[in-house]
Amino acid sequence: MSDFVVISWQHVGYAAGLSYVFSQRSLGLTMLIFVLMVLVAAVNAYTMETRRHLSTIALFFFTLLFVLIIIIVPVGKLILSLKPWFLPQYIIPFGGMAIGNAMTAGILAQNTLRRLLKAEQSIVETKLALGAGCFTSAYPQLVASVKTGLVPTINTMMVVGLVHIPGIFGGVVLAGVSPVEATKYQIVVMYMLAMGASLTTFIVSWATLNSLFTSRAQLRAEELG
Amino acid sequence: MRETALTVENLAVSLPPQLACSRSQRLLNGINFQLGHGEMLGLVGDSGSGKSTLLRALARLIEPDDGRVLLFGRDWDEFTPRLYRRKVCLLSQVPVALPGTVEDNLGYVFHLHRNLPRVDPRHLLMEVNLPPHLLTQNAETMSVGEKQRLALARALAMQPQVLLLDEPTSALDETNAVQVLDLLTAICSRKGLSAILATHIREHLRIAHRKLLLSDGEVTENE
Ligand SMILES: Nc1ncnc2c1ncn2[C@@H]1O[C@H](COP(=O)(O)OP(=O)(O)O)[C@@H](O)[C@H]1O
Ligand SMILES: [Mg+2]
Repeated sequence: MSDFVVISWQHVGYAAGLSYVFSQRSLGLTMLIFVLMVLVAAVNAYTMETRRHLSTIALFFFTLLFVLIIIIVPVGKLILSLKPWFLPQYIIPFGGMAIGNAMTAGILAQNTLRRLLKAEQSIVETKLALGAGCFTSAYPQLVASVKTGLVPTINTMMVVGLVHIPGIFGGVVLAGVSPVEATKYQIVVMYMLAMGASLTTFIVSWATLNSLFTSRAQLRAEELG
Repeated sequence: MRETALTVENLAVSLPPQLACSRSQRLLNGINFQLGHGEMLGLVGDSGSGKSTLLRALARLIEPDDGRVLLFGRDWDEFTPRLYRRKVCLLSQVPVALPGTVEDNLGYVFHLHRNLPRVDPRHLLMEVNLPPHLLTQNAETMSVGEKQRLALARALAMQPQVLLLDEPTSALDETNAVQVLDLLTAICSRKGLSAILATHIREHLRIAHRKLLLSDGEVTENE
Protein backbone atom coordinates (compact mmCIF):
# COMPACT_ATOMS: atom_id res chain seq x y z
CA MET A 1 0.00 0.00 0.00
CA SER A 2 2.63 2.51 1.03
CA ASP A 3 4.69 1.61 -2.05
CA PHE A 4 1.70 2.36 -4.19
CA VAL A 5 1.29 5.78 -2.57
CA VAL A 6 4.96 6.62 -3.08
CA ILE A 7 4.83 5.59 -6.71
CA SER A 8 1.68 7.63 -7.31
CA TRP A 9 3.18 10.75 -5.80
CA GLN A 10 6.33 10.22 -7.84
CA HIS A 11 4.20 10.15 -10.95
CA VAL A 12 2.35 13.31 -9.99
CA GLY A 13 5.62 15.10 -9.29
CA TYR A 14 7.14 13.83 -12.51
CA ALA A 15 4.11 14.90 -14.53
CA ALA A 16 4.15 18.38 -12.98
CA GLY A 17 7.89 18.67 -13.69
CA LEU A 18 7.44 17.52 -17.26
CA SER A 19 4.69 20.00 -18.05
CA TYR A 20 7.06 22.71 -16.84
CA VAL A 21 9.83 21.37 -19.10
CA PHE A 22 7.39 21.16 -22.01
CA SER A 23 6.43 24.81 -21.54
CA GLN A 24 10.04 26.00 -21.33
CA ARG A 25 11.39 24.57 -24.62
CA SER A 26 14.93 24.84 -23.31
CA LEU A 27 17.65 22.70 -24.84
CA GLY A 28 19.63 22.66 -21.61
CA LEU A 29 16.65 21.54 -19.55
CA THR A 30 15.73 18.84 -22.07
CA MET A 31 19.27 17.51 -22.04
CA LEU A 32 19.31 17.57 -18.24
CA ILE A 33 16.17 15.41 -18.22
CA PHE A 34 17.86 13.01 -20.62
CA VAL A 35 21.00 12.81 -18.51
CA LEU A 36 18.84 11.96 -15.48
CA MET A 37 16.92 9.32 -17.44
CA VAL A 38 20.13 7.76 -18.70
CA LEU A 39 21.56 7.78 -15.19
CA VAL A 40 18.47 6.02 -13.82
CA ALA A 41 18.71 3.45 -16.63
CA ALA A 42 22.41 2.88 -15.93
CA VAL A 43 21.79 2.39 -12.20
CA ASN A 44 18.97 0.02 -13.10
CA ALA A 45 21.34 -2.03 -15.26
CA TYR A 46 23.68 -2.20 -12.27
CA THR A 47 20.97 -3.37 -9.87
CA MET A 48 19.88 -6.05 -12.35
CA GLU A 49 23.28 -7.75 -12.18
CA THR A 50 23.61 -10.96 -10.19
CA ARG A 51 27.15 -10.03 -9.26
CA ARG A 52 27.32 -6.25 -9.25
CA HIS A 53 30.10 -4.27 -10.89
CA LEU A 54 30.20 -0.49 -10.45
CA SER A 55 31.79 -0.23 -13.89
CA THR A 56 28.41 -1.28 -15.34
CA ILE A 57 26.99 2.12 -14.37
CA ALA A 58 29.68 3.95 -16.33
CA LEU A 59 29.39 1.57 -19.28
CA PHE A 60 25.62 1.95 -19.57
CA PHE A 61 25.68 5.70 -18.83
CA PHE A 62 28.06 6.55 -21.65
CA THR A 63 26.70 3.98 -24.09
CA LEU A 64 23.07 5.03 -23.61
CA LEU A 65 23.94 8.73 -23.79
CA PHE A 66 25.86 8.21 -27.03
CA VAL A 67 23.11 6.07 -28.54
CA LEU A 68 20.42 8.53 -27.43
CA ILE A 69 22.13 11.48 -29.06
CA ILE A 70 22.74 9.77 -32.37
CA ILE A 71 19.06 8.79 -32.44
CA ILE A 72 17.23 11.90 -31.28
CA VAL A 73 19.15 14.42 -33.37
CA PRO A 74 18.21 12.92 -36.76
CA VAL A 75 14.70 12.07 -35.58
CA GLY A 76 14.04 15.61 -34.33
CA LYS A 77 15.76 17.43 -37.18
CA LEU A 78 15.06 15.31 -40.23
CA ILE A 79 12.30 12.80 -39.60
CA LEU A 80 9.80 14.69 -37.49
CA SER A 81 11.21 18.14 -38.52
CA LEU A 82 10.32 19.56 -35.13
CA LYS A 83 10.67 23.31 -34.47
CA PRO A 84 12.89 23.56 -32.45
CA TRP A 85 14.35 20.13 -33.17
CA PHE A 86 14.35 19.20 -29.47
CA LEU A 87 10.66 20.09 -28.93
CA PRO A 88 10.32 18.48 -25.49
CA GLN A 89 6.73 17.19 -25.95
CA TYR A 90 7.98 14.89 -28.70
CA ILE A 91 11.62 14.35 -28.05
CA ILE A 92 11.40 13.48 -24.34
CA PRO A 93 8.88 10.64 -24.71
CA PHE A 94 10.69 9.41 -27.80
CA GLY A 95 14.06 9.63 -26.09
CA GLY A 96 12.60 7.79 -23.12
CA MET A 97 11.46 4.99 -25.40
CA ALA A 98 14.89 4.85 -27.02
CA ILE A 99 16.63 4.70 -23.65
CA GLY A 100 14.28 2.03 -22.30
CA ASN A 101 14.66 -0.13 -25.39
CA ALA A 102 18.42 0.20 -25.48
CA MET A 103 18.72 -0.43 -21.74
CA THR A 104 16.70 -3.65 -21.92
CA ALA A 105 18.73 -4.87 -24.88
CA GLY A 106 22.01 -4.06 -23.13
CA ILE A 107 21.04 -5.71 -19.84
CA LEU A 108 19.85 -8.86 -21.60
CA ALA A 109 23.02 -9.08 -23.66
CA GLN A 110 25.33 -8.51 -20.72
CA ASN A 111 23.62 -10.99 -18.42
CA THR A 112 23.42 -13.59 -21.17
CA LEU A 113 27.11 -13.23 -21.97
CA ARG A 114 28.15 -13.69 -18.34
CA ARG A 115 25.76 -16.61 -17.83
CA LEU A 116 26.87 -18.42 -20.98
CA LEU A 117 30.56 -17.91 -20.26
CA LYS A 118 30.02 -19.35 -16.79
CA ALA A 119 28.00 -22.31 -18.06
CA GLU A 120 30.51 -22.98 -20.84
CA GLN A 121 33.62 -22.00 -18.93
CA SER A 122 35.36 -25.32 -19.52
CA ILE A 123 34.87 -25.04 -23.28
CA VAL A 124 36.12 -21.45 -23.33
CA GLU A 125 39.16 -22.34 -21.24
CA THR A 126 39.87 -25.37 -23.41
CA LYS A 127 40.00 -23.08 -26.42
CA LEU A 128 42.25 -20.66 -24.54
CA ALA A 129 44.53 -23.54 -23.58
CA LEU A 130 44.77 -24.46 -27.25
CA GLY A 131 46.05 -20.94 -27.92
CA ALA A 132 42.85 -19.19 -29.02
CA GLY A 133 42.49 -15.48 -28.23
CA CYS A 134 39.69 -14.20 -26.02
CA PHE A 135 37.50 -13.14 -28.94
CA THR A 136 37.86 -16.50 -30.71
CA SER A 137 37.28 -18.46 -27.52
CA ALA A 138 34.10 -16.62 -26.61
CA TYR A 139 32.75 -16.00 -30.11
CA PRO A 140 29.72 -18.36 -29.90
CA GLN A 141 28.73 -16.90 -26.53
CA LEU A 142 29.17 -13.36 -27.85
CA VAL A 143 26.91 -14.06 -30.83
CA ALA A 144 24.28 -15.70 -28.61
CA SER A 145 24.25 -12.75 -26.21
CA VAL A 146 23.88 -10.20 -29.03
CA LYS A 147 20.96 -12.23 -30.42
CA THR A 148 19.29 -12.46 -27.01
CA GLY A 149 19.68 -8.72 -26.48
CA LEU A 150 17.85 -8.05 -29.72
CA VAL A 151 14.93 -10.43 -29.13
CA PRO A 152 12.53 -7.88 -27.55
CA THR A 153 13.25 -5.27 -30.24
CA ILE A 154 12.81 -7.71 -33.10
CA ASN A 155 9.61 -9.13 -31.60
CA THR A 156 8.19 -5.63 -31.26
CA MET A 157 9.08 -4.82 -34.85
CA MET A 158 7.35 -7.94 -36.11
CA VAL A 159 4.02 -7.18 -34.50
CA VAL A 160 4.11 -3.39 -34.72
CA GLY A 161 0.83 -1.97 -35.96
CA LEU A 162 -1.08 -5.13 -35.14
CA VAL A 163 -0.50 -5.52 -31.45
CA HIS A 164 1.23 -2.30 -30.46
CA ILE A 165 -0.44 1.01 -31.12
CA PRO A 166 2.85 2.78 -30.89
CA GLY A 167 3.20 6.04 -29.00
CA ILE A 168 4.42 8.31 -31.75
CA PHE A 169 1.76 7.04 -34.16
CA GLY A 170 -1.05 7.71 -31.69
CA GLY A 171 0.33 11.13 -30.78
CA VAL A 172 0.81 12.29 -34.36
CA VAL A 173 -2.63 11.07 -35.46
CA LEU A 174 -4.24 12.83 -32.52
CA ALA A 175 -2.35 15.98 -33.54
CA GLY A 176 -4.08 15.85 -36.93
CA VAL A 177 -1.57 14.11 -39.21
CA SER A 178 -3.08 11.60 -41.65
CA PRO A 179 -2.66 7.95 -40.59
CA VAL A 180 -0.67 7.21 -43.76
CA GLU A 181 1.87 9.91 -42.94
CA ALA A 182 1.90 8.76 -39.34
CA THR A 183 2.72 5.22 -40.44
CA LYS A 184 5.79 6.49 -42.29
CA TYR A 185 6.99 8.27 -39.16
CA GLN A 186 6.30 5.19 -37.17
CA ILE A 187 8.32 2.91 -39.41
CA VAL A 188 11.33 5.20 -39.40
CA VAL A 189 11.04 5.68 -35.66
CA MET A 190 10.88 1.91 -35.15
CA TYR A 191 14.04 1.51 -37.20
CA MET A 192 15.76 4.17 -35.13
CA LEU A 193 14.79 2.39 -31.92
CA ALA A 194 16.02 -0.91 -33.34
CA MET A 195 19.28 0.69 -34.38
CA GLY A 196 19.73 2.11 -30.88
CA ALA A 197 19.10 -1.28 -29.32
CA SER A 198 21.50 -3.01 -31.71
CA LEU A 199 24.22 -0.47 -31.18
CA THR A 200 23.85 -0.73 -27.41
CA THR A 201 23.94 -4.50 -27.59
CA PHE A 202 27.14 -4.47 -29.63
CA ILE A 203 28.91 -1.93 -27.44
CA VAL A 204 27.84 -3.52 -24.14
CA SER A 205 28.65 -7.08 -25.25
CA TRP A 206 32.00 -6.06 -26.62
CA ALA A 207 32.97 -4.05 -23.55
CA THR A 208 31.77 -6.82 -21.21
CA LEU A 209 33.70 -9.44 -23.15
CA ASN A 210 36.85 -7.36 -22.86
CA SER A 211 36.34 -6.83 -19.14
CA LEU A 212 36.07 -10.60 -18.62
CA PHE A 213 39.49 -11.41 -20.10
CA THR A 214 42.96 -10.17 -19.26
CA SER A 215 45.39 -8.96 -21.89
CA ARG A 216 47.15 -12.33 -21.54
CA ALA A 217 44.05 -14.17 -22.76
CA GLN A 218 43.01 -15.38 -19.31
CA LEU A 219 39.35 -15.71 -18.38
CA ARG A 220 38.49 -13.78 -15.21
CA ALA A 221 36.28 -16.59 -13.95
CA GLU A 222 35.67 -14.80 -10.65
CA GLU A 223 33.88 -11.98 -12.49
CA LEU A 224 31.29 -14.27 -14.05
CA GLY A 225 27.78 -14.79 -12.79
CA MET B 1 73.47 -32.96 -18.39
CA ARG B 2 70.26 -32.69 -20.32
CA GLU B 3 68.65 -29.46 -21.43
CA THR B 4 65.98 -27.88 -19.22
CA ALA B 5 62.56 -27.60 -20.85
CA LEU B 6 60.81 -25.68 -18.11
CA THR B 7 62.30 -23.70 -15.24
CA VAL B 8 59.78 -22.63 -12.61
CA GLU B 9 61.04 -19.82 -10.42
CA ASN B 10 59.34 -18.80 -7.21
CA LEU B 11 55.82 -19.22 -8.55
CA ALA B 12 53.12 -17.97 -6.17
CA VAL B 13 49.39 -18.01 -6.80
CA SER B 14 46.61 -16.70 -4.59
CA LEU B 15 42.86 -16.63 -4.95
CA PRO B 16 41.43 -13.62 -6.74
CA PRO B 17 40.53 -10.98 -4.11
CA GLN B 18 36.80 -11.43 -4.76
CA LEU B 19 36.98 -15.06 -3.65
CA ALA B 20 39.59 -14.89 -0.92
CA CYS B 21 38.53 -15.21 2.69
CA SER B 22 39.58 -12.58 5.23
CA ARG B 23 43.11 -13.96 5.55
CA SER B 24 45.10 -13.57 2.37
CA GLN B 25 45.43 -17.21 1.49
CA ARG B 26 47.94 -18.48 -1.01
CA LEU B 27 47.11 -21.47 -3.17
CA LEU B 28 50.75 -21.88 -4.15
CA ASN B 29 53.74 -20.57 -2.25
CA GLY B 30 57.04 -19.96 -4.00
CA ILE B 31 57.26 -23.06 -6.17
CA ASN B 32 60.70 -23.83 -7.65
CA PHE B 33 61.61 -26.77 -9.85
CA GLN B 34 62.95 -27.73 -13.24
CA LEU B 35 61.65 -30.06 -15.90
CA GLY B 36 64.29 -31.68 -18.08
CA HIS B 37 63.94 -32.08 -21.83
CA GLY B 38 62.23 -35.42 -22.48
CA GLU B 39 61.56 -35.91 -18.80
CA MET B 40 58.30 -37.21 -17.33
CA LEU B 41 57.92 -35.49 -13.99
CA GLY B 42 55.34 -36.85 -11.54
CA LEU B 43 53.46 -34.29 -9.47
CA VAL B 44 51.82 -36.02 -6.56
CA GLY B 45 49.67 -34.55 -3.84
CA ASP B 46 46.39 -35.08 -2.11
CA SER B 47 43.20 -33.76 -3.55
CA GLY B 48 43.13 -30.02 -2.92
CA SER B 49 46.89 -29.66 -2.58
CA GLY B 50 47.05 -27.36 -5.61
CA LYS B 51 48.08 -29.63 -8.48
CA SER B 52 45.48 -28.28 -10.90
CA THR B 53 46.24 -24.74 -9.82
CA LEU B 54 49.94 -25.25 -10.51
CA LEU B 55 49.33 -26.73 -13.96
CA ARG B 56 46.86 -23.97 -14.85
CA ALA B 57 49.42 -21.40 -13.76
CA LEU B 58 52.12 -23.12 -15.84
CA ALA B 59 49.82 -22.91 -18.89
CA ARG B 60 49.31 -19.30 -17.79
CA LEU B 61 45.54 -19.67 -17.71
CA ILE B 62 45.72 -17.99 -14.32
CA GLU B 63 48.20 -15.24 -13.59
CA PRO B 64 50.58 -15.86 -10.68
CA ASP B 65 51.17 -13.00 -8.21
CA ASP B 66 54.86 -13.67 -8.32
CA GLY B 67 57.50 -15.71 -10.08
CA ARG B 68 58.08 -16.69 -13.67
CA VAL B 69 58.60 -19.61 -15.97
CA LEU B 70 61.37 -20.12 -18.51
CA LEU B 71 60.68 -22.28 -21.54
CA PHE B 72 63.98 -23.60 -22.87
CA GLY B 73 65.67 -20.65 -21.20
CA ARG B 74 63.33 -17.99 -22.55
CA ASP B 75 61.10 -16.02 -20.17
CA TRP B 76 57.40 -16.70 -20.82
CA ASP B 77 56.82 -12.97 -21.33
CA GLU B 78 58.79 -13.25 -24.55
CA PHE B 79 56.05 -15.42 -26.07
CA THR B 80 52.57 -14.40 -27.13
CA PRO B 81 49.93 -16.30 -25.11
CA ARG B 82 49.03 -18.10 -28.31
CA LEU B 83 52.55 -19.34 -29.01
CA TYR B 84 53.30 -20.12 -25.37
CA ARG B 85 50.17 -22.26 -25.03
CA ARG B 86 50.90 -24.04 -28.27
CA LYS B 87 54.28 -25.05 -26.85
CA VAL B 88 53.13 -25.71 -23.27
CA CYS B 89 49.87 -27.57 -23.61
CA LEU B 90 47.49 -28.30 -20.75
CA LEU B 91 45.20 -31.32 -20.72
CA SER B 92 42.54 -30.47 -18.16
CA GLN B 93 41.44 -32.81 -15.39
CA VAL B 94 38.05 -33.38 -17.01
CA PRO B 95 38.55 -33.83 -20.76
CA VAL B 96 36.52 -31.34 -22.76
CA ALA B 97 35.22 -32.03 -26.26
CA LEU B 98 34.50 -28.89 -28.23
CA PRO B 99 31.07 -28.75 -29.93
CA GLY B 100 31.08 -30.57 -33.27
CA THR B 101 32.52 -33.77 -34.60
CA VAL B 102 35.82 -35.39 -33.70
CA GLU B 103 37.21 -34.05 -36.97
CA ASP B 104 36.08 -30.51 -36.04
CA ASN B 105 37.88 -30.88 -32.73
CA LEU B 106 41.13 -31.80 -34.41
CA GLY B 107 40.67 -29.24 -37.16
CA TYR B 108 40.21 -26.46 -34.61
CA VAL B 109 43.93 -26.58 -33.85
CA PHE B 110 44.87 -26.02 -37.49
CA HIS B 111 42.25 -23.31 -37.74
CA LEU B 112 43.93 -21.50 -34.81
CA HIS B 113 47.52 -22.12 -35.79
CA ARG B 114 47.60 -21.73 -39.54
CA ASN B 115 51.33 -22.17 -39.93
CA LEU B 116 51.30 -25.61 -38.30
CA PRO B 117 51.90 -28.43 -40.78
CA ARG B 118 48.54 -30.09 -41.37
CA VAL B 119 48.41 -33.66 -40.20
CA ASP B 120 45.86 -36.18 -41.41
CA PRO B 121 43.24 -36.40 -38.62
CA ARG B 122 43.10 -40.17 -39.14
CA HIS B 123 46.77 -40.32 -38.32
CA LEU B 124 46.24 -38.24 -35.17
CA LEU B 125 43.53 -40.64 -34.00
CA MET B 126 45.72 -43.63 -34.72
CA GLU B 127 48.45 -42.20 -32.52
CA VAL B 128 46.13 -42.26 -29.52
CA ASN B 129 44.60 -45.65 -30.36
CA LEU B 130 41.24 -44.34 -31.50
CA PRO B 131 39.63 -45.96 -34.57
CA PRO B 132 39.42 -43.64 -37.61
CA HIS B 133 35.67 -44.21 -38.05
CA LEU B 134 35.13 -41.96 -35.00
CA LEU B 135 36.04 -38.91 -37.12
CA THR B 136 32.44 -38.15 -38.05
CA GLN B 137 31.06 -38.82 -34.57
CA ASN B 138 29.74 -36.00 -32.40
CA ALA B 139 32.61 -35.49 -29.96
CA GLU B 140 30.31 -34.60 -27.06
CA THR B 141 28.71 -38.05 -27.12
CA MET B 142 32.00 -39.90 -26.68
CA SER B 143 32.90 -41.72 -23.48
CA VAL B 144 35.22 -40.01 -21.01
CA GLY B 145 38.07 -42.30 -21.95
CA GLU B 146 37.61 -41.49 -25.62
CA LYS B 147 37.42 -37.78 -24.84
CA GLN B 148 40.65 -38.09 -22.90
CA ARG B 149 42.35 -39.59 -25.95
CA LEU B 150 40.77 -37.03 -28.25
CA ALA B 151 42.08 -34.23 -26.03
CA LEU B 152 45.52 -35.83 -26.22
CA ALA B 153 45.32 -36.11 -30.01
CA ARG B 154 44.24 -32.46 -30.20
CA ALA B 155 47.18 -31.46 -28.04
CA LEU B 156 49.64 -33.51 -30.11
CA ALA B 157 48.41 -31.81 -33.28
CA MET B 158 49.87 -28.59 -31.86
CA GLN B 159 53.34 -30.17 -31.73
CA PRO B 160 53.92 -28.98 -28.17
CA GLN B 161 57.23 -29.10 -26.31
CA VAL B 162 55.73 -29.63 -22.86
CA LEU B 163 52.56 -31.51 -21.92
CA LEU B 164 50.81 -30.65 -18.65
CA LEU B 165 48.70 -33.67 -17.76
CA ASP B 166 46.19 -32.99 -15.01
CA GLU B 167 45.15 -36.37 -13.60
CA PRO B 168 44.68 -37.91 -17.04
CA THR B 169 43.51 -41.13 -15.42
CA SER B 170 41.12 -39.75 -12.82
CA ALA B 171 37.96 -40.28 -14.86
CA LEU B 172 38.98 -43.73 -16.14
CA ASP B 173 38.57 -47.27 -14.87
CA GLU B 174 41.75 -49.17 -13.99
CA THR B 175 42.14 -50.93 -17.37
CA ASN B 176 41.69 -47.69 -19.29
CA ALA B 177 43.97 -45.84 -16.86
CA VAL B 178 46.81 -48.28 -17.45
CA GLN B 179 46.29 -48.08 -21.21
CA VAL B 180 46.35 -44.28 -21.19
CA LEU B 181 49.48 -44.19 -19.01
CA ASP B 182 51.28 -46.61 -21.33
CA LEU B 183 50.15 -44.57 -24.30
CA LEU B 184 51.48 -41.38 -22.72
CA THR B 185 54.83 -42.98 -21.94
CA ALA B 186 55.15 -44.27 -25.49
CA ILE B 187 54.21 -40.97 -27.11
CA CYS B 188 56.42 -38.83 -24.90
CA SER B 189 59.49 -40.97 -25.38
CA ARG B 190 58.89 -41.33 -29.13
CA LYS B 191 58.48 -37.57 -29.64
CA GLY B 192 60.98 -36.50 -27.00
CA LEU B 193 58.25 -34.58 -25.18
CA SER B 194 58.65 -33.26 -21.67
CA ALA B 195 55.63 -33.75 -19.43
CA ILE B 196 54.32 -33.10 -15.96
CA LEU B 197 51.91 -35.77 -14.77
CA ALA B 198 49.74 -34.70 -11.86
CA THR B 199 48.03 -37.43 -9.90
CA HIS B 200 46.91 -38.31 -6.42
CA ILE B 201 47.44 -42.04 -7.06
CA ARG B 202 51.05 -42.95 -6.24
CA GLU B 203 51.01 -46.19 -8.27
CA HIS B 204 50.49 -44.14 -11.41
CA LEU B 205 53.84 -42.48 -10.83
CA ARG B 206 55.65 -45.61 -12.00
CA ILE B 207 55.92 -44.05 -15.46
CA ALA B 208 57.53 -40.88 -14.03
CA HIS B 209 61.31 -40.41 -14.09
CA ARG B 210 61.25 -38.18 -11.02
CA LYS B 211 58.56 -36.90 -8.69
CA LEU B 212 57.57 -33.77 -6.83
CA LEU B 213 55.39 -33.89 -3.76
CA LEU B 214 53.00 -31.00 -3.40
CA SER B 215 51.29 -30.36 -0.12
CA ASP B 216 49.48 -27.24 1.03
CA GLY B 217 50.74 -25.27 -1.92
CA GLU B 218 54.41 -26.06 -1.36
CA VAL B 219 56.81 -28.51 -2.91
CA THR B 220 57.98 -30.59 0.03
CA GLU B 221 59.91 -33.37 -1.64
CA ASN B 222 62.03 -33.32 -4.74
CA GLU B 223 63.60 -36.64 -5.56
N1 LIG C 1 38.65 -20.63 -8.30
C1 LIG C 1 38.77 -21.11 -7.05
N2 LIG C 1 37.94 -20.69 -6.08
C2 LIG C 1 38.06 -21.14 -4.82
N3 LIG C 1 38.95 -22.02 -4.43
C3 LIG C 1 39.80 -22.50 -5.34
C4 LIG C 1 39.77 -22.05 -6.70
N4 LIG C 1 40.72 -22.70 -7.37
C5 LIG C 1 41.33 -23.50 -6.47
N5 LIG C 1 40.79 -23.38 -5.26
C6 LIG C 1 41.23 -24.08 -4.04
O1 LIG C 1 42.60 -24.32 -4.17
C7 LIG C 1 42.95 -25.56 -3.61
C8 LIG C 1 43.74 -26.37 -4.61
O2 LIG C 1 42.89 -26.80 -5.63
P1 LIG C 1 43.39 -27.67 -6.85
O3 LIG C 1 44.54 -26.98 -7.49
O4 LIG C 1 42.23 -27.97 -7.71
O5 LIG C 1 43.89 -28.99 -6.13
P2 LIG C 1 44.14 -30.44 -6.73
O6 LIG C 1 44.11 -30.35 -8.21
O7 LIG C 1 45.48 -30.81 -6.20
O8 LIG C 1 43.07 -31.32 -6.20
C9 LIG C 1 41.67 -26.22 -3.16
O9 LIG C 1 41.56 -26.08 -1.78
C10 LIG C 1 40.59 -25.42 -3.87
O10 LIG C 1 39.44 -25.35 -3.05
MG1 LIG D 1 42.97 -31.23 -9.58
